[in-house]
Amino acid sequence: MFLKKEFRIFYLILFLTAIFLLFYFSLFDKKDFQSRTMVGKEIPNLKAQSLLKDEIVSLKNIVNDEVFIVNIFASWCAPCKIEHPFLVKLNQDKIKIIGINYKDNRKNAQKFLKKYKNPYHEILIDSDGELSINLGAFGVPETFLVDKNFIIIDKKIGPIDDQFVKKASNFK
Amino acid sequence: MRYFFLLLFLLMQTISLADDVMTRSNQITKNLRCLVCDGQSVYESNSNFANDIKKYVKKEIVKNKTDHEIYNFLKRKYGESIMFNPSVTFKSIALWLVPILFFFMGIYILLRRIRG
Repeated sequence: MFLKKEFRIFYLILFLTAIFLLFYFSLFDKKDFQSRTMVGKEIPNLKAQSLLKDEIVSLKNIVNDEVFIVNIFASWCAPCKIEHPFLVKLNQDKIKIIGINYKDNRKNAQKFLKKYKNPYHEILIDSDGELSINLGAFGVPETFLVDKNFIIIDKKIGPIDDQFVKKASNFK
Repeated sequence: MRYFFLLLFLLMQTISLADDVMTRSNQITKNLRCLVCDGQSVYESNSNFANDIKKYVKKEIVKNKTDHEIYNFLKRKYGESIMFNPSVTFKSIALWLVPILFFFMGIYILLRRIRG
């Protein structure tokens, strides 16, 4: 048309590259399972009945200017038993752990803690799963590492391991 | 007798309200993906995750939340992937428009060739 042949080829390549990039970034988004949506966001101020005492507690009143962990657990959940020693270790490392007792029987939860030790600083009862939805959780166990500014820096679906303990200890 | 009719009326109202909640909840959960299942909607699934979401949706409907508010909350927590029909974004519009653009460009080039 009005452009020289070299320019036409240059603009064609530029146009095709733009189209390629558009398709690449639109179609290669991970849409199947975005498990880390809440990572990088502020943790909601969860408020619920405490398992340890007879009062309503809220997350932001329990922790103060420190790195802490939120762990969803239940006495009926077998993988929770596997991860429990790691939680006890984290507690020995002086990291505050807030438990979310998911759809559990109060007595069974207390028995579970008596049997396997209680690593939790406070436990909020999540009788209908609403606290877990608020955390963007998928099930039990699930663990969130939260920084001093209440920002979720990491999360683990399933039982935590040595690697998670190390990461949490490094952040402290 | 008057009390009987009043009670009957109240009962009918409650049933109709519960029906409305159920219908709306079903509509919403049919458009939500069960993220721990294989290709099932929250409505179809009986997993713990799906049951929690169903309960949450019903609760929010009773609180007079709109469908949009419920979807938005869940998208904030679980990402766009929880929706079976993802919302329209610049990227999705562009993906629809680019092939059409190419089609018309092709016709334009073809016509120029034929005339030339």
